[in-house]
Amino acid sequence: MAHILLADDDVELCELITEYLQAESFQITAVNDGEEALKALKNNHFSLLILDVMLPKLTGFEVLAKLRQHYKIPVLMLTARGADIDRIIGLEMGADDYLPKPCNPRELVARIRAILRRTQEPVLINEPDTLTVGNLTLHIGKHQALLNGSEIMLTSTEFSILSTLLAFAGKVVNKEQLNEKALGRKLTAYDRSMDMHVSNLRKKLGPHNNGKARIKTIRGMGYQYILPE
Amino acid sequence: MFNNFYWQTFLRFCALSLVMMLTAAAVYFAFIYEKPSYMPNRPLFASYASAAVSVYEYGGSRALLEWLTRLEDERNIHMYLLDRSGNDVLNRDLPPDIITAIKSRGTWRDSLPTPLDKQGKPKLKEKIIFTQVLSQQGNPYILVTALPPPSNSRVSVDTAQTLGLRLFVAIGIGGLICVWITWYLTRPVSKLRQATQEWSTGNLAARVGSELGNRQGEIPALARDLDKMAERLQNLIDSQKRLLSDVSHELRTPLARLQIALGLARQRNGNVMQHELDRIELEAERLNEMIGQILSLVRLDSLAQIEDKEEVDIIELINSAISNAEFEQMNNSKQLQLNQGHFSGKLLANANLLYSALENVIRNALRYTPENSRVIIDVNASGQDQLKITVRDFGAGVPEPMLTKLFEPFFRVADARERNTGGYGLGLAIVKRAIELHDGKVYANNAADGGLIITILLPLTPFLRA
Repeated sequence: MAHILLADDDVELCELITEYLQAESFQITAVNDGEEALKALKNNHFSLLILDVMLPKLTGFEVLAKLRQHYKIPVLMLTARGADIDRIIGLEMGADDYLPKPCNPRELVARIRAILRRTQEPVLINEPDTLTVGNLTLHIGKHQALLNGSEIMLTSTEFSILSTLLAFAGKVVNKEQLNEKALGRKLTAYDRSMDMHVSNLRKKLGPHNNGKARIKTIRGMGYQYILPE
Repeated sequence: MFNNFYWQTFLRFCALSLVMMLTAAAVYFAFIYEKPSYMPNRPLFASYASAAVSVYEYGGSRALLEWLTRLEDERNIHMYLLDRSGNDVLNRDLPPDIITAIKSRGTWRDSLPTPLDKQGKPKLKEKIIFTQVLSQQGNPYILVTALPPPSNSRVSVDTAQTLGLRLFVAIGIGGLICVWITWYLTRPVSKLRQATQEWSTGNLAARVGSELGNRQGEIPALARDLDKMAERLQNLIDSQKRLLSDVSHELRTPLARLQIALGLARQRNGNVMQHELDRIELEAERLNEMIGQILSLVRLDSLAQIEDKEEVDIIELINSAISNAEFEQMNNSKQLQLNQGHFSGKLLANANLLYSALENVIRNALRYTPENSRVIIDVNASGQDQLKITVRDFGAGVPEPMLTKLFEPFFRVADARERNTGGYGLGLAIVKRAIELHDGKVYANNAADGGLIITILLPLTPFLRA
């Protein structure tokens, strides 16, 4: 049973969500401010963090920034409806996905399941556990990414996207396919999440040794991992 | 800073200065100026007279002639010594004006031909002075002196040059003073205008400035008042924005709880009351959307201009909106048709805003076009630098007088229709704000053969040649 940490300042809402998610076979711990969230993360192991943007003591973004220094835990952000900027900042800072509040609880469960599927995926026997292209190596089972031998911190979504692109290195991966594989949901029109994640990847990986970009955007189609010369 | 107002004021100043100078000159010449006078120096001529008489009576005619000639050469003064009957003692011919002068005094001689000066030119008018004198021997004589005209009556070339130079310097200095005075006076007004221009574009943070506001006078007082007004307005708008965002946050809280509670109800009830729960969910979703739209509208209203624009592929956007709208359709009886014309130029826009505007219009058209009909979308160039997008449905259209009101918030053509097809009257208001923020235009017309046409015009920037 996955243990989920829920951080939201609305106490009553937390109670309701806890009830709902428990009925869907999740174990839930609820906290109501940023400091409590960090404390809980330190003392327990969670499979997923549902993080509200508006938290007292430390805002959702501050919590995100702090926890990304230490933990790889996947994060689902609860943003305010219509606040695009929250979404963009959150994804830039390392959230795996977002969901505007108020939300349909069915949607919430779907997103949670999608993220957990990605991070807890057992390695299939006929799929390689290690993917190496140039100076980049991915250990799928351990969710580890190594650049020139040293580990780089990627969110589970970023890891998912990168492994898909690397598996098809040199070829274009369709945006819709990438969205479903990596985010576990259909691409909603003009959703910039994918662009955000790819942009983060580019920043973290840097260019190839010859200066050329690693990931190329093919307008109207998708993305491609460029093979090193 | 050297704008229309400055030049107007400067020219007024110059005109004023000119008028003042002319008036002063006129007054001076009319009342104060005296013609340069000859200023006869009577004691001088008295001594000349006695000297002339002495020379004549003791030295004779020749001596007198010598003396008179020398005087002529040295001082350009012509003198004639007349005896008591008015005749020149040297028996020379008298110039006509002297004859005239003598005539008017009562002594006369016959007129003579016009005397010429040494160069052969006729002599100019000379002022004539009569000095009576008694010789030591007791004989009465009259010394007639013809003075040369003062050099003032004729402008020599030298004088013209100095006068011209003086005038040029005077105008130059005057001009500089005018420039400075104008700048000094128009500068406060310019500063006021700078601030008010900023305010008119929505930037209420601008202030006229303390350097202006600390001085005395009407304009600095005005500046202070305007600054205070801007600050109050800014505070008012900020507090209203805060209020709205607080309100929305507050509204969202019970709504979020409601939706989760609804989920719980479904979980526990299985298929019982499915229909009612569906309905609750639908209304909750509508509330949600309305809150979102109000917030968008408020946000767009307070934007003076869009900050982040980028090059946007309009066809990609429209196709995206079309596929989304098609996906939302319950059945597939309504077709969406895109006709793409030729246009060149970059469309700089905020992709998200533009997308939601297009999606809104397309969704509306889909809503109102009847079953088994189409929605036609045309994208074309309009003139050199505009993009024209028309979305046309085959519904009932909108009554003519309401075509402009369509874009007002919460405007409904007819309540009944709205309720059946959804929509809260905010969509088009948001579209209008979004398009106008892109310096574009949006309007609605009824099509000749039924249906409504929404036209969006957006400015295109021409491609820069590399």
